[in-house]
Amino acid sequence: MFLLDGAMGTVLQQQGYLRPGDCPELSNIEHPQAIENIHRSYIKAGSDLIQTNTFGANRIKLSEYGCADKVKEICRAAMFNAKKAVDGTNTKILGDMGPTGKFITPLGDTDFEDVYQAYYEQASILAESGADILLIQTIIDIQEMRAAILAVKDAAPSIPIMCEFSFSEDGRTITGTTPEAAAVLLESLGASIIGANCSLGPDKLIPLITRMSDVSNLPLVIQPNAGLPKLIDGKTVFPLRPNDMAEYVQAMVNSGATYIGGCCGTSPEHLAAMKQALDRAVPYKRKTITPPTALTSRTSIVYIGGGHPPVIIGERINPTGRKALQKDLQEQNFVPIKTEALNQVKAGAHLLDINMGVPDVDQAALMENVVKELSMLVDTPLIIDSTSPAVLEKALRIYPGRTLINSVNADSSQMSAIFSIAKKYGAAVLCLPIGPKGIPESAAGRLALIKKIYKAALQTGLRHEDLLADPLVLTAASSTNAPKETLQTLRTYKETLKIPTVMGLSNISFGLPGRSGLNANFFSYGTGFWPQRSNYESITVRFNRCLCSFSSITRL
Amino acid sequence: MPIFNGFLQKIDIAETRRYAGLRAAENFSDKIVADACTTALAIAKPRGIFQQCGYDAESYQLLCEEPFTVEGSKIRKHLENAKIAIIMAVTIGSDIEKEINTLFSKKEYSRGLMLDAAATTATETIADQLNHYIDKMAAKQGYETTWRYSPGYGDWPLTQQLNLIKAIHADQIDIHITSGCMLVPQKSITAIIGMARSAAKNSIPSGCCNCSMHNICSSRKE
Repeated sequence: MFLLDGAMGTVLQQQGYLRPGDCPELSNIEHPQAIENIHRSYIKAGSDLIQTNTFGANRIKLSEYGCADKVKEICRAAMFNAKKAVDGTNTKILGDMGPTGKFITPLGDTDFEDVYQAYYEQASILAESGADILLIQTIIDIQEMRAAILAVKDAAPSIPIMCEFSFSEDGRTITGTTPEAAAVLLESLGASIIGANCSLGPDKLIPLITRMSDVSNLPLVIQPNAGLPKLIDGKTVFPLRPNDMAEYVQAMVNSGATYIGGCCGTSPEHLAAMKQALDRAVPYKRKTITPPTALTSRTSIVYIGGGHPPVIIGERINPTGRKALQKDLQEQNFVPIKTEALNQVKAGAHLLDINMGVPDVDQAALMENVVKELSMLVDTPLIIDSTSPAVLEKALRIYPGRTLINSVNADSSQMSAIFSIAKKYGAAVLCLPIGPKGIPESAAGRLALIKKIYKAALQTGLRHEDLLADPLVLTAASSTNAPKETLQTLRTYKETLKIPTVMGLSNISFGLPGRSGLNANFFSYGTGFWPQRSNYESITVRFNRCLCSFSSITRL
Repeated sequence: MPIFNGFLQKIDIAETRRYAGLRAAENFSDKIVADACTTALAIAKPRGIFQQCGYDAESYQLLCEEPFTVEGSKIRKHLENAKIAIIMAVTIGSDIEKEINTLFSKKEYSRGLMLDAAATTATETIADQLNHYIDKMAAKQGYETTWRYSPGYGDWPLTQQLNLIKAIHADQIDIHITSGCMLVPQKSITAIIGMARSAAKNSIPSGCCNCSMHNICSSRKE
């Protein structure tokens, strides 16, 4: 168990060093002794980790005070003050990075790359100055968190990242992200410690940490406010006293958190009381979960395999062979694909596949624009359907969630490029059994290729839960043996690699009459494959040209 | 000025029916209402902007870049306890108006009417999202907020749209105003929210039953 510290800003206000409208981070330069003393107070209270006074020391936030050019000066001064305070102790220093105060486009008007650059600058300086861990905290929008994590990974690849979201009373961030979606995304992006801080008191924040522990084995952090603030005599007052906060410490431990601290309204006295409670707390043995394979949008999470119901992928956002749609996309008219997306979601799609294979356009730029539009329109996670590294890079950089790359085959150079992008952006990857000689006819041949891809992916740093496999459904019109071999491939994937599977279901009936019935029967073979398990266990299915089948299948 | 565009993922069908004046028209096709909502979702381009400024309840002055006096007894009463005011504006853009006009010009009156109602619901949805964000930000500082009040409510004259538009530089999100003080695009809203220690206590209660038009308004909520 590790004890963090508590608030800096509210303590500076109480001590008279900070008036309304002042820039809190300038205190590092104007009142260094006061900052050092507050750090020392927390260390004396028992804090194992203290946070630098750099919460708003990014270029964008500091510009509100006319101090955008002081990032380096402020961050270095803050680190200097913290280092003086921890000198001679075992206390570690968290380089603190808070929100920019701006929303990223299209939710706001600030460019993703500007936010990335602001965090990159701050993280570089804090890392160079000696931060042990970089802390990204009080974030209310997933996109800002993503920009910050990507910046920290680039600026300081060897320093652990602690990430904390700020949630509202409804259990979501203000922009709608749940603790589960946040945890899955943060872990896939490479965070070392995840959790929540600010906005809520311990009673409301503790259950949210528990929910994170249900989907991740990463160490958890909790830093609640000292209750919900009230305005009394013109001052913001937090109601929980030191002993009140201490009473919640056992519950914080029982939520699975191993890093415990305070946020707004907490003081060294609060942390001293919490330290005593922590020393008395009964240790909690956190259960180890099987990490789920899951995809997320800004506001939702979709689990795949692992006992969850089958997932339906809508694949109609694909201009291949559709001249009118190609023309719309060439002219940047997105209304038809937005309507298509809404209709597929209405018909029951859990995920939407996006293919922008339009001739005579910059496909990477087109994909970026379409992903921006659709990620604001539907809460359904998106799948990026491309093997072009340039297209994938553009799409994954700005998608506010964890997506699935569709797809990779057993070609070494393709695997290398795609796995690297997936790792960087925390995406899952759909693996296809296609080798130099095309698609093997036998299940054994397909399994061999998938094993090769799986092994290469793990060597690149991807995890088991990042990988899905497609047995490849070929039309029954080409060979009467094809459906049987596909189902056998599905079985071997499940038995051998135990990873979620994806089938392009309606391919089975291509070129044949009565497609709906054939699709439905093949679907029931696929989902009912495992007598020892629920029918819901096994597969994810994709539908492209057969929305009629799509509707009938969902009623099964 | 801070920008929060919100995200429009759903348009309430019941509200759309209400805005279209169809609450009693039970035989009206549900499909046409649902289709209008889908069309509105696909065409709308939500945008929102807001600005915090001081408010002097004694002189009724909003202390923004170009301070002005708030006219109208109801809005003054509404902001009685406020020390701070948030001026906000949202729009869903002009493309949807063009589509509505196209439908009417093609004599597709039912579809035009329903799309207009869906667009109104969408605009209110975006205003609600920005309002929600403002409420949360105020609560973080220990403030309560009043419900949002727009020019045209009670006796607050529409002419003050101009003051609000200027105060928040609404042209940044392409909201403008006609000489008759109507907003362009039409599917736009300006409003003010008061922040106070106990904002709710003295402000005018929200809801249709507290409106002077309650008895004759066809859009009132039951």
